[in-house]
Amino acid sequence: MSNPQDVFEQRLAAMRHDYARQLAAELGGIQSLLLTPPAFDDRKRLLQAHQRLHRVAGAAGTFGLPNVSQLAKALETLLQDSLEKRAALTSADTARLSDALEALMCEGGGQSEHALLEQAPSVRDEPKAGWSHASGDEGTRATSIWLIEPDQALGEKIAAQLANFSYSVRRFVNIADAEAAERQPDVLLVDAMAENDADGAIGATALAQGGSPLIFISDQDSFEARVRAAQLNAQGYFLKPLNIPHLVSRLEQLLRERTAAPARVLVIDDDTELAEYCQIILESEGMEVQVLASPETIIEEVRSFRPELLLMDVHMPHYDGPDLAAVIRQFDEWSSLPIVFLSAETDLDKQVDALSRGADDFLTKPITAAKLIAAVKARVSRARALSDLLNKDSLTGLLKHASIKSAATSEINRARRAGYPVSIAMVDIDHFKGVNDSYGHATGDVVIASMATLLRQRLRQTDVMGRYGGEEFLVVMPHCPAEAAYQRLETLRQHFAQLRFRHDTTEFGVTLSAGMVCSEEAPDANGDTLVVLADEALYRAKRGGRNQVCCGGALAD
Amino acid sequence: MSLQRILYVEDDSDIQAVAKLALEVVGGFSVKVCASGEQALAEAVAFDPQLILLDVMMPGMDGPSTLKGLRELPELAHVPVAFMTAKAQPQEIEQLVALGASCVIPKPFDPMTLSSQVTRIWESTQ
Repeated sequence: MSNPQDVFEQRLAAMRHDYARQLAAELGGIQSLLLTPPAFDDRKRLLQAHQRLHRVAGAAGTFGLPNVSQLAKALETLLQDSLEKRAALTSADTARLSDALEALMCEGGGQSEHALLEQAPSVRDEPKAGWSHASGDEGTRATSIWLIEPDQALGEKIAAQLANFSYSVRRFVNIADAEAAERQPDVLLVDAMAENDADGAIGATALAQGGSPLIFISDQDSFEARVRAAQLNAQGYFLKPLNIPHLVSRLEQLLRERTAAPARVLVIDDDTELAEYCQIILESEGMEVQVLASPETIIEEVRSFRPELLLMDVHMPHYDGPDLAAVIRQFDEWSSLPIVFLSAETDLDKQVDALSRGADDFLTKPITAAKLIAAVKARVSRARALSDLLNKDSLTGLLKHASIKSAATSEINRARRAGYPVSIAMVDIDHFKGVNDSYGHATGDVVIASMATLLRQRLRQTDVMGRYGGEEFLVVMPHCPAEAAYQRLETLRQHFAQLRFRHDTTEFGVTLSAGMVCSEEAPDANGDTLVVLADEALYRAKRGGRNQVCCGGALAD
Repeated sequence: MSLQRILYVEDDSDIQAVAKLALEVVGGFSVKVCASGEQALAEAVAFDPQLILLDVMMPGMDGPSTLKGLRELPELAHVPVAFMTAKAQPQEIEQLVALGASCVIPKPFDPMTLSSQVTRIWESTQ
């Protein structure tokens, strides 16, 4: 793998895949900007859509999607004309815009995602060498883990177990070998003994400097060893014999942090220069930022942009910042949305007043870029951690019952409003009670956690999924027509059936059944009814012999 | 002397990543990426680039204003600049070249051939 051309092509393929994955969501966002009533008739939204289309037009071709580029360009040009026109759009104008939008969504939205992924070579949607047999195969397409373990037999065993979770594990017996290897892994798993050897510590640090998180495994549980790991900035310390599900859950957590969605920040300030300054700084850190110059639309803006933090001026011409904070706090769903004031205000009473009326913090102008970034990042990551604790299931890291139900309803409503298809699926592990009875609840938990990991890996970032009941999962796939949803579930089913689980010396496999329905097949159904239809389809799958996917709504046989 | 150091100014992180990869791995160049014109003006002199690639449409300071700012720095006044843009109409290209750019690379670009394209631009300015 030392040929630079090979390295380049692999990394390019990975980037293309990532881009294709997020493109559908980006186009969905642009579509809702344009179609939110009054469709094509809000100058501000048209401008935003125009800018975002410009980016897609400039980028998609580079990532191997020339058709998407061209269609985005065509729509961008039409929007440009409409924006320059200033007069109200005629019905012929809106028809042209609708057509261009539809063409773009067909090419790049959820509808042709399979074709998209064929154009842009997929990292995750191809059969993996490491799925069912425990090879130390250096697949480049799954999450790559480097395991540095001097004990060869043990290394082989750990690699085999990790392969169950579709990680690609490359084994080394010492740090020097790993240092000599090309490329960087996603995670480094290092035996503490290897680290103790001669220059091992320096080696491990140097390896981790490439940006890969470091996890130590060890058979010694001493305070010194743990401090040493902390000093080397290790993200975990696991004792042997390894509890693989725990290790996997830490790995997933690390990988999620690395691929976390960008933070969304809404800046509310009548001083456009300052607002733009904040926008530039935060965007340079990869955050998504919107600026609101007039506070009157704050409720609509918070509802549509769903910011994770509000950055607000204290004094604005017509409304005071603390008043706006109090308005936001009138809505239950935004009671924990962080609100930070940015102001030249140094008057302590004013700050106390703002804090007592719902603000979380004060930043005093002028503020340095580093401080602004640090303050926003810390607030957003704490808000996310808190919301995870409240809403996510501890075993699977997926949404809990109540949260997935409300997330499903809001996704379905959004799809109905914007007029794109959404598919709902219920997925259930077959004969799960038997697994628990035969192998114990600890093994049952491994099966459930694996199901969750697989769901996360095989579905898109824009899909919403949660643990609906004990071994039942609910999945919401926006921009996904029935055929594509069926294909995805079918792939999921096949891969789950290939997983091998172990209990003591016994190896066993488990299957799943799924029921699904697409909003297009049940045009009159609301969110709750769609879930019921998916559940009925699941019941048919179970009755039909399990290990299969059944469709509901108009497609039900 | 051959082309080694390229300063690349682009706000879109996806495009940044793919161009940096293409220029570093295929071309073997040393690439510094700036996410904004402001950052480029602050950091360009220290990097001492031999060629500057500049996105045209960026929030805040756009490509043409960044070019103007760069030209005011004596150390960088003569470093060739190529614009990268998705608005590659002949008239727009003319306007950009009139601002003092050596060339305009249309977006979307092909990551496979970007390095050779950049090398040609640089050679033509030598």
